[in-house]
Amino acid sequence: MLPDTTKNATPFNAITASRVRKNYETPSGAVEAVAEASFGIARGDFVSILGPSGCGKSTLMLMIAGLESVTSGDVTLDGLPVAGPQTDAGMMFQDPTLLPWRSVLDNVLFPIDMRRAVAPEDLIRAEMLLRTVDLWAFKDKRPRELSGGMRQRVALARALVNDPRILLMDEPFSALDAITRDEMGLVLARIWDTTRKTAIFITHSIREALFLSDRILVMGRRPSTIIKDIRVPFPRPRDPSVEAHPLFNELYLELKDSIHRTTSVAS
Amino acid sequence: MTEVPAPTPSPPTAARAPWNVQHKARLVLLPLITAALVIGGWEAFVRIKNIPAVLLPAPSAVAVRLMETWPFLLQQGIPTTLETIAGFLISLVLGIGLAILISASRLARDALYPNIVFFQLIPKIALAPLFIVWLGIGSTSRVTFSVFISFFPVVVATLTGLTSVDRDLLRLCKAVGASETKIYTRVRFPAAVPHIFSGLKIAITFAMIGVIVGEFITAQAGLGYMILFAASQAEMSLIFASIAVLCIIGLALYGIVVVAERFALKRYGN
Repeated sequence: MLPDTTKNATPFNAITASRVRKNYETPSGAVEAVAEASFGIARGDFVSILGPSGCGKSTLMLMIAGLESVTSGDVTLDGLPVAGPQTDAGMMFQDPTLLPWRSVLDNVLFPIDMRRAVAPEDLIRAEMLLRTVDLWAFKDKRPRELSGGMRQRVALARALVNDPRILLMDEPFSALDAITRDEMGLVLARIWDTTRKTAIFITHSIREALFLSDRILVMGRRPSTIIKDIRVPFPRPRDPSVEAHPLFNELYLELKDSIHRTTSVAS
Repeated sequence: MTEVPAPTPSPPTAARAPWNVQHKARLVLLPLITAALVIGGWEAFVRIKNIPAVLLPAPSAVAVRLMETWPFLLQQGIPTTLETIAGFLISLVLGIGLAILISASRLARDALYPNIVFFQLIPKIALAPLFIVWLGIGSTSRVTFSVFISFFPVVVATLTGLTSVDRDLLRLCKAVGASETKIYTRVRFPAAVPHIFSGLKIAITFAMIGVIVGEFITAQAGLGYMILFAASQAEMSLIFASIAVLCIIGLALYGIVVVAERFALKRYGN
């Protein structure tokens, strides 16, 4: 009854992870952050990684981006093995990490002007993105003049300005209040629908994951593995009314149960 | 979706003005009145107890001496000021340069940083005579010593600033393919500006102290020398008058750094 796919059979996976493990060296010995994770992500899929705090979700995302080394296992991006930082990723974090000395527009252009000179097309693209997140009027303002939600919207525009191959988002809305968070979810869904970029979205909000994603991977507690992998069948473009769908609540309860099982068993 | 930006403070309304003025007046008047009371107490103490002038002069006597000698004292202030500024500027360049080197090279950091911390902790003033022995009694030794005691805070502050960049922001830089140089010039260095200014405020104070201590030892010119000379003549009022002029110069130099800091923070502050 409930859609459940494990390995994605699509031949052209944008991202594959094969038996990926990650150990950290700490003063008190080696810590196993990710035990073994294997999955494939199809191009254009929005995938959420759900799991309790500290389960290695961020580590997994960083390994896919090439920003953390893999202890063992393989990660490939568009068929090629990930050997170092991928330079075509758009990223968002819990903290907007905007540069306080730059205007909103210059912050959006940051990924471009860190690599090369800014061209007129880039300005047009930046304007389009800022207009889409409703912040064009604030283009000359400083981050300190904006609220938290507005800063995250700038961060979202920034993540897309260089037309990245993949989007990596690590709990970008966790620090916002519930109302702003829901609004941001709508903004993200709306923008994503126009670009359809392969995206990885880390969250511990089940509702957020269900609303935004095509697929959800649930990670267990550390040392973590993928304990559940489900397809989210709702049609796009997503609309807040999807929460009234009976399947929504079923999936919600199922995911909630998986997560609770992993957090109680491990203690 | 329009949103209201963070609220900016509204201008005081007519009803609020009296409170605002009262608050500011309090901030200025209270310390002034306290200082006046202390000086008044000093004056009274000297007169009532008939303290001899060679021990503790009355504030009024100091004021008189200051009136008499201020052009001369200001003239003596010129070498002190120039050497302080020279020491400060060299500290600024050396300190920031060294910090950049240490943050960029792991080898430099492991080799140099512990030594820098060590020098931060020892009483460097005690080393002043060494500099005089090595470099003679001219400006060179005083300025060098001034740099020696004032550049460590600049190094430490700059280093803290350069390494204080958010880890996620650095990840973002790598994820968009930025070179290390660009990360330095466009991210680390601007982020360090507020920290650098904290170091500079300490450095300007220390630079002046270094020059004055140098003048104590070399006894040639400058306000430090004046203090020494006045002490040898038991001219207490002149000592205090020299100290007063030193304070004014010191405050002016510090004030210049503070003003520069305000401009810098407008652009680079949070």
